[in-house]
Amino acid sequence: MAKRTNTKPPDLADIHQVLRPPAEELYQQELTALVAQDDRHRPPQWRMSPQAVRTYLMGGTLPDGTIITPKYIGQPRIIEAAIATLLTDRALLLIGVPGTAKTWVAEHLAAAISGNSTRLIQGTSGLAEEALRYSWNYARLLQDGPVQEALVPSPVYRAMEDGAIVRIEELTRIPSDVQDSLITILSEKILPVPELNTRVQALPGFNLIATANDRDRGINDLSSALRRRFNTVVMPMPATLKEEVRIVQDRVRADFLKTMKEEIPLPIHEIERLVILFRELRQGRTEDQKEKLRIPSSTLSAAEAISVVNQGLAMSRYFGSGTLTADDLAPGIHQAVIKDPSTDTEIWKEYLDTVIKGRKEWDDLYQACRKFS
Amino acid sequence: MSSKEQDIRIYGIRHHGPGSSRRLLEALQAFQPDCLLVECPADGQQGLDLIGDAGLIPPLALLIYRPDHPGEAAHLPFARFSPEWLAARYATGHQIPVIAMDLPWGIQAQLSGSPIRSDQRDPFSFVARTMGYSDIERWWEYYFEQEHGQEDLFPSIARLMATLREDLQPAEDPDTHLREAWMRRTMREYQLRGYQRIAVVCGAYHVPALDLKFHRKETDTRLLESCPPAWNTASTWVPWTYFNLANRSGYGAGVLSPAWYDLLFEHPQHATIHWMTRTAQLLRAKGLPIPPASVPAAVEMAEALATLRSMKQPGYQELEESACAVLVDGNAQWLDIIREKNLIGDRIGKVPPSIPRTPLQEDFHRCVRSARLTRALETPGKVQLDLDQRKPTNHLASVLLHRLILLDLPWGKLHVRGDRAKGRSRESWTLQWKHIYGMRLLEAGLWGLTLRDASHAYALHRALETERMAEIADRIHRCLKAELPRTASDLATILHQRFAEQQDILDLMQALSSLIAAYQYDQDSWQDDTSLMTLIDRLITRIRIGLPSMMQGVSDEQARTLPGQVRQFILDLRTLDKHDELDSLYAFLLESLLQESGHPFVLGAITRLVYEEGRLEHPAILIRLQDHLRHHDDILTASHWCSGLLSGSETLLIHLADLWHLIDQWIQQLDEAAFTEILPIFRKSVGAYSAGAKRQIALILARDTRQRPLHIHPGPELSEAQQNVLLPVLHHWLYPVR
Repeated sequence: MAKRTNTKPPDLADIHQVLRPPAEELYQQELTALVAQDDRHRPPQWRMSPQAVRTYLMGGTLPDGTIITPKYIGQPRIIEAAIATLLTDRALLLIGVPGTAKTWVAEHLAAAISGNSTRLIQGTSGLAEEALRYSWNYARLLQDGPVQEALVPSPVYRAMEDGAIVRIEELTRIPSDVQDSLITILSEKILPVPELNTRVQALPGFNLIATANDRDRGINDLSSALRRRFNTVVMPMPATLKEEVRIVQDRVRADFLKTMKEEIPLPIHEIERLVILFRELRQGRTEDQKEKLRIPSSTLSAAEAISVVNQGLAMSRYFGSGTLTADDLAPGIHQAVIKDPSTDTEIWKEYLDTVIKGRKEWDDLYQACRKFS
Repeated sequence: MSSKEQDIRIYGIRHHGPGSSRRLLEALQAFQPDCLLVECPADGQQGLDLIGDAGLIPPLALLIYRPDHPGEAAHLPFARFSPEWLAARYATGHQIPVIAMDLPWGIQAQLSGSPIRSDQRDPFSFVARTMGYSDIERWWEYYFEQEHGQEDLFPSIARLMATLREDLQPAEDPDTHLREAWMRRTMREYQLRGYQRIAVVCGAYHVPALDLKFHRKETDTRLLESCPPAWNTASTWVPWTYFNLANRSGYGAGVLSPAWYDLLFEHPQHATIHWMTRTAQLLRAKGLPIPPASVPAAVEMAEALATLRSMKQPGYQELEESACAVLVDGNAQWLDIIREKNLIGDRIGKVPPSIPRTPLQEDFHRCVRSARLTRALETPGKVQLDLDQRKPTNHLASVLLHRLILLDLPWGKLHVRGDRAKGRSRESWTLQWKHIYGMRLLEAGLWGLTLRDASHAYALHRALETERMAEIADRIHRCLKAELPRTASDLATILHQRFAEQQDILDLMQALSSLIAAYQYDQDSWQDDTSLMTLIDRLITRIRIGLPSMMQGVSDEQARTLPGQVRQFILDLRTLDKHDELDSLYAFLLESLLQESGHPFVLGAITRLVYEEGRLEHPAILIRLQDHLRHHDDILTASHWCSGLLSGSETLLIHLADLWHLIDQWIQQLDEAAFTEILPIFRKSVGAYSAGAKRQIALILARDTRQRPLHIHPGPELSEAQQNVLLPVLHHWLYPVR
């Protein structure tokens, strides 16, 4: 047998050395200040009023001068719709393409409302029903039979008992039949435990925040019965070109640093052009708003722009001149735009021949894409 | 002689606010006035007197105009929830006079040029901003319209306005002072006439200024002496739409959501539930399965949102956000699709014929007179008209008739053939006036005061509504004939913005042809307009790219029209000297023939087309025909192909004896069932040939039958019975009984 390792849990003092502490610890000061100065009505089991939750997410200044940093940069109405949903009987489903801060918002909502963002289930295609309900400590089960002490509650189970928020990440990756075990929990607010002949009844304050990626492959759509237990809030794509270019640049720099262990001069010009191209096709309008375009079936999110640039950088580094050119990007663009060849090819050709061709300074890109398609 | 019992009550309202309406009616019921003064230009009195007519159904606009200058007018819209409308109807219902108390429009329009009733909104927006509302409309809605308490709100509105006007001292334009002086003068006048209980209904802003205690009669008289003499004006009613109410500026404008106000007016207590139910219904009509249980869930969320935003009740924005999250799973596009119905609504007003003529009607009759068409108008039957555009009156007539068609008023029908035969300056028309056109002319009043303006506005409106680009392109052509060049270029802009959405290549091809026709009609004025040529280029690119998939996926019916469109497309390209495009088109067509990719009818027709264009030799056709006919197992495809080849004008094919011979042989070897199947397909192509051509084909075949053996390729022998069935049909087909 291998040498026994020291399994002592980390000291409390070590907490700041973990890679990333949960939101409620990271922003403990802000949360405490908000709770202390909140004089509005709090729904049962909520740590603060809905208005204070909004301030926590959108940022602001409290009466005593405490500054609350904004957690979400974007339209306040998105956050308001999310909070309003949690005030009702229905659960909250945050939907959006990758990179729209779904998980981030869900975590901060849970931290603000329940003071605990760690009741979390990561959805995967291999997730079993037990992970949503409860499982058993088999040693205890064999020794004592089915007793409460042998039961291992899931995060959902605990949230129901505590009247708190539980999160499910990537809900649509969970197999449909497993997803459906949430229906009773969400509609009846009851989790039966037939082995013990008992049931858990949710306390007020219990609710669920799920996130899902609606345009990914390998997803299991929610059954309509389950859909009806959720209000859907769509997390929008970055609103402005500038914002999106910044997101792509930052991520490309970080990714490159991580994989290649070196800094590179960012191909700002190429990134900007690529983001414009993606945004135009995604929104069905040219950036100058003058012309309408047909929209292909592909997502063309910021995350895809990032991967096209990364791919292009790798191409230019190993097979090209070393600096990123239109030729390095063209294959990636082609792949990203054309998801369904029967319709997208036509749309892409049309975009090439009408929009790109007309832009003098885009000629290299036009030639590269023409060559490739 | 103001006696002590005289009572004047001033009701400050927000124009078109349904909340004000409700409260106003309650207040009037309680007050029981014997005279009603409303904030409405005094020269609108003529129209106001007609308000009791039961045939008037809002939304309507009170139209004040100058009979001698028909372009100049003001529209004062009224919805069924407008406080002024309800107050006036209350008055006619109780047989008390309704008096227009504001400065006449005939004076206002001559002042500093500010639009009519440019309410001083600044103080409102100041309050709204202080209370955390981004716009005044919503602020007013939450504090006044949505309040359902029983307390009388009018005194507090008056106090608020008094404080605002005193404290903020907004930069008031002198016109407002003049108007308020005129209003006070009217109030004094009706006091003098001895009315005991006078109700005054005006915009909330004016309330503090109408307190007669603080204004001396002499000062007002002096002030009003500075007014220019009023224009000669007239007024009447025209039908209005909620769409106009939401978009037009003018008297009490800026009602962004008439349909929502309509709901608030009709169901003050349950507007939220009604709105959500209607939204669910509209979405279901679009094919979305919205479960009934979702509606209360959406209402619940809207109320939670309102609480979060410290509102008493959800407003339109909260409702829409909740509908988005609950009813359509976050797909906001669905709400965009129904928004116009849901927010603006499609209500259109009605004006009975008893109401006096509108400016548009007058303009129409003026145009008819100057085009010398009065007699044609009065003739009950059809009138033939040959116009020579070089004569001024004839030119006017042509422009008039084209403008009327643009307004969906087809009094005249243009004969296309005659037009071509006699050259461009000649047009021949058939005119027939129908009663319904009179009604249409009245309705068209909402688009403008003159035929010119109305046809401009209506053409743009229709262009935004239609799904067919060809229709827009047609209108561009017609606008040029109707001397509306600005409309034509506006339409071209709309077409440019919209054609990318169109999937139907056939429609785009039609649009292209119409555009080129328009271009040819008026080349000079389009010459320096590069945007039209860019548009044409874009259309060509789009058609070239979309044509291959179009060829694959056409239905039998579309297949019949596609070749004609391709032919037209070739003509169009040739007209524009686009030789590169033409070459690549031919290359593509020949390739699709080679690969047999496309509907067989289209391929047959294209084969003939490239033959006609000299890109395919005569023997090549015969080989192809033979190839196709040899596929005995697929008779349907063969006959579609063949039928495509034969469709169109017969003159070119009639002398190709070999061709007929091949087809003849093929038909003869078919069995009865197969023959019955292909007969209708052939009939569609060959049936349109002239009788002479049919006889000539028959002669060719008869001659050939005598000269050659009937079967080159021995097919199955026909039994006598089969022949007996076949021959009469064939005979009938070749020699139809006339």
